[in-house]
Amino acid sequence: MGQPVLMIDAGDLFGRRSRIDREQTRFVCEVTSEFGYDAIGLGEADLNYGLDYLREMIDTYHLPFTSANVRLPDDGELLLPEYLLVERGGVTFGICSVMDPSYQIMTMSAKDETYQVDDPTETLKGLVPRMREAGAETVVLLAHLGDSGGESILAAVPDIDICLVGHSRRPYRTERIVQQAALICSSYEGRSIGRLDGQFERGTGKLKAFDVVTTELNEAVADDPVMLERVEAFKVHLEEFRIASRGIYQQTLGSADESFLTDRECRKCHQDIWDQLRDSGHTNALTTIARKGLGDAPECLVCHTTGYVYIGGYDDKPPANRLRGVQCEACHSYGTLHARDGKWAKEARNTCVTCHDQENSPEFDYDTYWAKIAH
Amino acid sequence: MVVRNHVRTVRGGLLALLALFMSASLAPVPSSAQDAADWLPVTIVYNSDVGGKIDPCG
Repeated sequence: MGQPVLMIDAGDLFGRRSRIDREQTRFVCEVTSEFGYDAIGLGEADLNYGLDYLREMIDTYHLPFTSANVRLPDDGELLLPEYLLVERGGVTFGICSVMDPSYQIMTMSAKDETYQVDDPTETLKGLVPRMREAGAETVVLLAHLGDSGGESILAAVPDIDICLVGHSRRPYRTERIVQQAALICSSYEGRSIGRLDGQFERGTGKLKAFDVVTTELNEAVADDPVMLERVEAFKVHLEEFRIASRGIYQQTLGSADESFLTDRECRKCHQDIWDQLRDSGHTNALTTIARKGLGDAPECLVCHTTGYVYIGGYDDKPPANRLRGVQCEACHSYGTLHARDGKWAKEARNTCVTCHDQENSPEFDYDTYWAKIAH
Repeated sequence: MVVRNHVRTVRGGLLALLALFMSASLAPVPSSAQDAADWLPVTIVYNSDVGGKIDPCG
């Protein structure tokens, strides 16, 4: 008979702020639910799609998220359960999570969402004794605090038994003990998974002995055929979703015989122009809308990227995702044309008004605007 | 064909780990009968920063 297993995650389960990633995150949540996690800490990325989406995932897939220091600013209510009590193998585990307040929470929700993130140390100094009073024998902290944050919090807050570090890129491959607590960390993007085999004292839940193993999830780990089939089916769905999400902005213009080369190629001969425009509104056009949560909106990308509706133009997967912002080829057309005969597209002047139209740029005046980018 | 992806690898990893759970505990062995009576073995499987990934970058 196998021994009891507790499954925990230290946060940032969700993907980047894009529609494609949001769709993929839904699939990841569905599968994560089937794994049977007992507790998931909150990372700033888990709010990338807004609180409504997070709550939808929690409700739909019964994901046991917890957070002790992230609150709604208006009423001060915690977003999630403050801590969880889980009985496993005769031990009562109290599991809580804190996030570093310096991590920037940015959502792609239509709402203007802001959150209050309390100081982790003060939060835990008050919380851990209350967890003990509530019956927690073993206190497990999901520390979404980064590499150095785990050790710092254990030095400042007593009586934590196990600390799983999140927002990290470095797995801990050996047993580490800090302030009499086991400090553990797996990895990111599912590159490895960690396992702590522990012996807990009956009646107190104190961790008496443990071993740690991190398993790299590489080609040496056999595919699960059922899951592999589901993943492949999801990838087909995701590609259909990607095409559908473009709506009327399909890549139908231009020619498959030509290629966008990106401004990196242009720079090789035109360093002076590249220097002049590197911090311009054109160059940062995608960043500008991404900050507003619109970095994946086709109706915006058509003007805030290069060649969005042209064959070979911007897309959010490599290599076409290098065509971020309004680069040289957005006005001057395919670089291969220029490279072939050395001519620049004289019709570039006429391309301004395709984006600087009455709706989006009502004050546009060619002479005034040209002065900002003259080259 | 081996395909690297988070879901598959996690699933595969968990299957491998669960197989280990079924076969033999890796937990430290109590050194005395008294410890064996007082100790409760529990395995903690942990993860973090999945980032919505199916395929790890790079």
